[in-house]
Amino acid sequence: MVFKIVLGIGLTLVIIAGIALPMVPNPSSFFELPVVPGLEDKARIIFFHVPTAWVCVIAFIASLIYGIQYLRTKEILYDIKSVTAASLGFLFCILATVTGAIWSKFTWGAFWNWDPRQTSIFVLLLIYGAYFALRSSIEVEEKRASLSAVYSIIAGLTVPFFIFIIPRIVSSLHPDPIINPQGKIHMNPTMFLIFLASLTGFTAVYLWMFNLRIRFSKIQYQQQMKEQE
Amino acid sequence: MEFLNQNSLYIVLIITLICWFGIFGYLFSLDKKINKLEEKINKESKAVK
Repeated sequence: MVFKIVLGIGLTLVIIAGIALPMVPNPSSFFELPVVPGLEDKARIIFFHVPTAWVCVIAFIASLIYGIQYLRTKEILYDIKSVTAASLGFLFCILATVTGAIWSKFTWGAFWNWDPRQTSIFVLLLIYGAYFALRSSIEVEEKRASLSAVYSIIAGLTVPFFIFIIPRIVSSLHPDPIINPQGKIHMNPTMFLIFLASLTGFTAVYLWMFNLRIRFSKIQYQQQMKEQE
Repeated sequence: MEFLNQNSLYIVLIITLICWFGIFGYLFSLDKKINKLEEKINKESKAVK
């Protein structure tokens, strides 16, 4: 319970700080953010858009790990966890795509530019869209779990490639990422603190949503087993 | 569009709201599913009694 209250207060503070702290050319106090040339207030998207993409990566990797665990143990709980992680990852992937497209409209002039980052997230959406299509096409539970576990492993392996590698190979209009080729953090300390708090908050929200969904799916599964008996 | 171009803070507001609606929508649909499941379990337990 304490965790949820802390999370609620923490994310509220992140939203307030991310939107309300003033942006000035030369920040002199901790409560001022620097003006990012060319982006101005639009630079604040980093506090909300990047964490959604981050959660999407975590969720897809979690889906991969649970897929491996299912194949090792054949316990249906891992299949439930794997599909829940993938569905949450898909939700956050859509959020990252939509928020990025809106930002792109006002920064680059169009909602969609086929920028390397937009293309790679679009391919990820297709890959995981196919994952859900695969699951819904198989009725036998064990076969569905096994096939989707294998698929989630292959799909999960492509995630770092699409999110971290491709956008760095091809030149992109996307602002300098945090993990950049120079290995330096090009960010004001206040911005970086809010950004880290936001990443932590979004990750905690994901874990909470995951936990709720798993509890529901477990009860639903037990109920189905009772009905079959 | 012109207004948003000149007041880009509102773009950030829209983006924050989209994130919130996504999370809220997920929780809302989960809540509905839990309600349905609870009803089903309650009906079954009454039928057993």
